[in-house]
Amino acid sequence: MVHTRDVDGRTLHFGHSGWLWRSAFLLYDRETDSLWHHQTGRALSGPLRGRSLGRLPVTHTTWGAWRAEHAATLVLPKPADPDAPVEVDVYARRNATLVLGVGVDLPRARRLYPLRAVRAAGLVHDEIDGVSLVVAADPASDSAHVFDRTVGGTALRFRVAAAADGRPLLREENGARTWSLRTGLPVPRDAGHPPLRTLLSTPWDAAAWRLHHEAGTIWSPE
Amino acid sequence: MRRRCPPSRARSPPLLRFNAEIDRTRGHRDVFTVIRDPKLLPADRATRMHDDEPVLGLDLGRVQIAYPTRLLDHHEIVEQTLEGLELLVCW
Repeated sequence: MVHTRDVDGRTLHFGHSGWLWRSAFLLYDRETDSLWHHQTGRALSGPLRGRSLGRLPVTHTTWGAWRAEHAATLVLPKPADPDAPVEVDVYARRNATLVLGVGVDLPRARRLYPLRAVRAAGLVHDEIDGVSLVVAADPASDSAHVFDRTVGGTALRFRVAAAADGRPLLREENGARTWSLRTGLPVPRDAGHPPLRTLLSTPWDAAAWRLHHEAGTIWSPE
Repeated sequence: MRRRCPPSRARSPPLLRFNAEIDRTRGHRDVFTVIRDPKLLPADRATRMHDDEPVLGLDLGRVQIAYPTRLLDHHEIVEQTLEGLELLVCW
C-alpha cells in the first residue's frame, strides 16, 4: 500500500506500533501518537481519529513483469550485506495458509475478488456502486489488476491476449483496441485510445478482509 | 502523473471496541526500522534483483519505483519524498 503523509498541510512521520488489530498492523504518527490502520490509511484512535491518508494505486507483481512494462523504473536497493535475509520469503509458512484476493474499495461498496476464482474465470467483468470494472489475474504473479472498463461512455468487455513480446493484454471484444493488462495503458502507446482507469485495490487474505469489511461482499462466479 | 485515489471512507470502529481488540503481544514500538528517503537504483544497476521475485510497483507518471517485498518484510514502512509527494509505503 502507498499512502500520502500530508494531513491538513502537515507531513506526518510514522513508525510501527508493534500492535495488531484484526490481523492488520497499526502505525503510529510521531506528531500526534494517533494509531493508523496500515492498509486503509485511516486513523483509528488518537487526536487524528477518523482522518484518512491519501492513497495511490500500486501493483503487486514480479520484478521481471514490472520491468517489462517500465523499462526506466527505479528500485529500492537491497542492503549491501550479501547475507541479509532478503532473498527468501520469511513468511512462506504463513503465506501458504492464506486465501488471497484483491479488495476493491469504492465510495459506497467494498468487494473482495478471490484470486483463485479470478484465475479460473480468466477475467471478471463486474459492476459495483455504479462502476463497471474488470479484474484481470496477472499470469506472472499472485495478483490481479483492477480497471474501470468504461471507455468513452461505454462499458467494454475484454478478452485476454498477448503481445508479441509475451506481455499480457486486454483486447476489447468486438473490437481491435488493446491495453496492457498490467498498467491499463494503450498498446501500442501511441494507438490513440485512452488508458483504462486503475481502480484502487488492495491484496488481502480473505479471512482478514472479512474482519475489516463487515458490510462488504465477496465475488463468486454465478 | 497518475490520478490520486480518494482516501478511504470506511467508518472507524467504536473506540472502546477498537482498544479492546488491539493485540499488544506481538511486538513493541518501532520493532521494525523504517526506511527513510532511500537512494533508489536505476533498473540496469539493480543486479541483485531476480525476474521472479515479488515487488510492489508504483507509477507516479514520470517516475516508477519497484519495492522488493522480501526487503519490505523486514521494515514494513518506507517514507520518502518523490515527485512532490510525501509517500508512505506500507507492507
